[in-house]
Amino acid sequence: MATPNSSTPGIRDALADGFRGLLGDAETQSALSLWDRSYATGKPHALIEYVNEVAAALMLPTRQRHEIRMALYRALLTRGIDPTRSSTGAAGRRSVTPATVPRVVNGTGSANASAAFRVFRSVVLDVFRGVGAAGATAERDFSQAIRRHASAQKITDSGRMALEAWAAQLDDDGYFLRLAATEYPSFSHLMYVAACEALGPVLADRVFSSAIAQAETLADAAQFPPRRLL
Amino acid sequence: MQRLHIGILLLLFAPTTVFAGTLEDAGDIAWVCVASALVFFMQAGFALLEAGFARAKNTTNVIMKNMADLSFGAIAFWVIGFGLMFGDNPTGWFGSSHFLPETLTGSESVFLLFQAMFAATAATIVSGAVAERMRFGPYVLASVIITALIYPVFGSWAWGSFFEGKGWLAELGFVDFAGSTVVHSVGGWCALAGALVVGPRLGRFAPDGTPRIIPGHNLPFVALGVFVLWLGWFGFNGGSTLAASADVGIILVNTHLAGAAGMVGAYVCLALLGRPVLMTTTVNGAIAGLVAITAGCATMPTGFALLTGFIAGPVMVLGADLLDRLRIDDVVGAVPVHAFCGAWGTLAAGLFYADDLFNLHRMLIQLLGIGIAAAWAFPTAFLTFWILKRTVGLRADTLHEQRGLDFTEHYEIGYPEFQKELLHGGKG
Repeated sequence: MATPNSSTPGIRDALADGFRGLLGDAETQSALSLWDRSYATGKPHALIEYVNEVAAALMLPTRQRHEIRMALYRALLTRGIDPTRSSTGAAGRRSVTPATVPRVVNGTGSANASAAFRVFRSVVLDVFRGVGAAGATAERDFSQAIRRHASAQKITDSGRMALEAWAAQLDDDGYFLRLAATEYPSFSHLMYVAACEALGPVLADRVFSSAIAQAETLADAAQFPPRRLL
Repeated sequence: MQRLHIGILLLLFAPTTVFAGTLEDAGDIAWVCVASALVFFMQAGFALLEAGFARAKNTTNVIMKNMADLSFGAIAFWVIGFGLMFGDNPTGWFGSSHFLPETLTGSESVFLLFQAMFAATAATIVSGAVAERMRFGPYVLASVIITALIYPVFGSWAWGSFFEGKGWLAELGFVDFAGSTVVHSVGGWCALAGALVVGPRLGRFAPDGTPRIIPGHNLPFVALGVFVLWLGWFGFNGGSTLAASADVGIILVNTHLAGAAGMVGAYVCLALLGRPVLMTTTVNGAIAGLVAITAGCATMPTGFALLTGFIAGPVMVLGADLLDRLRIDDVVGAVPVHAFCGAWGTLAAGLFYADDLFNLHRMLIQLLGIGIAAAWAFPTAFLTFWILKRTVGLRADTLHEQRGLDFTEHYEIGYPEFQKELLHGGKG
């Protein structure tokens, strides 16, 4: 078993909190053992991979996998830990206050948001759904590709984390609400690149076409045509 | 007796370096003019084949690259290439006269026209391998360097000169009648260099290296392209006699049967491997057979021509597998078809040389020529692409790859009525 370093107890406790209510005691223990064994001292940015491995080991359905991932994100953020950073070391922490912990996505988006934001949000969430439907491996590859390509697409760490929060189905709209509509295509392109890597260009085109078609049904599409995101 | 006659005739026409004194007869000139037109038409075949293999959003770009090979290539070959390849060649290493040739005789002009078509063919092989991600401008620069330098220099070794002197490979007895190595392998090695430097298309290989199929947008184009190429090959091989003689008949028969056998070979190979018999692979098998017979079509008995074409099918199929394993993205299979099958065909031309089968000395010379072609064309092309990458940039950025090079490079899309969901309808 790997020896957890000084920074991991906080993460471990957050994970235990996250599992509470979703898994039984025995399942929680075995999930935490997996963390100690394989993730505590090693893999950076591995939360999605960890959740996928827990779900596979416990044979959890997809829906429950999503619920656990959401719960873990929330638990980590509550303790001021950036879920998208390395699981070890002080560098893995960012200043997140419990007050900024986002709510779970309810599917409506912010009421005072622009048409561009709502269209963008619809496309992004549809793409996440499309990638999720391709399975856990695709989801993991997608997430890794997002991290790998973000800087090449001039996406800041905050932007990438905001995207990942949406991937975790958290209602963390603040970052994107502040962006100008002209900045959204960079994010959708980053997602396209990541989708190509994770799913292949054929499936990626299909997922994006479907997301765009879905967004075109919104009333906001008249003000902000979803194709501007391509 | 008839076989003996044919054998003697074939031996007479074996080395293509014996150019001087040909093309004087009006019939010969007429035949080579027709053959030039047929080889010109091969560009249309390449355009159809490569555009069909590409996605709809990149068709205009692919066709523009084919047009550039023909146009820029023709000018570059006239300015420099022809002199380097066929000018006076006292050293055996390169031609040194007839640059910017303006005072050619009618016969020499016909020869220049015919050879300019060959140069464009060598260059256009590259465009299929690097389709869908290489920018147009740098591609044109590479095409010019291939037709002005890389192709003619090797050509001077194997085919030079049309005037005075002889290439050093030709002097050794290297047999490549119409260019399995000189045209196709050289083009194929350049294509490999281009594909390596530019890298694979976005998502072509999964993170674990598994190759992903990216289907072409128009498979009937692919098939039609192969039919056009096959037709053009009659001019490519038949015209290389530079004479409207009876030998053309056997050359065309060998060419035709090798193409047919290449298709059968690819089909049998796929069936034996338990894979689906894909149209795209089997028609590439026909091209593989045609490439392979190009070196020995004038010096090989018909049975062996058929065998040469048949073996080219599996060489192409397995060669494509090898590229996939090495994570090299070759959109149309240009490297296995032209480089690998060109090499195989050149070896076969030595192995199955009429009345002198399996002559070890000849085979060694053939192997030398094959190796020298790779050793010259691949590094020079690699260096060319690498310098272009470092200076002007070679690869389209990922956003352009997403939108398609038709729109981003040419502001014109191949199918405007059907691509609205992929692009912006031409707007920001």
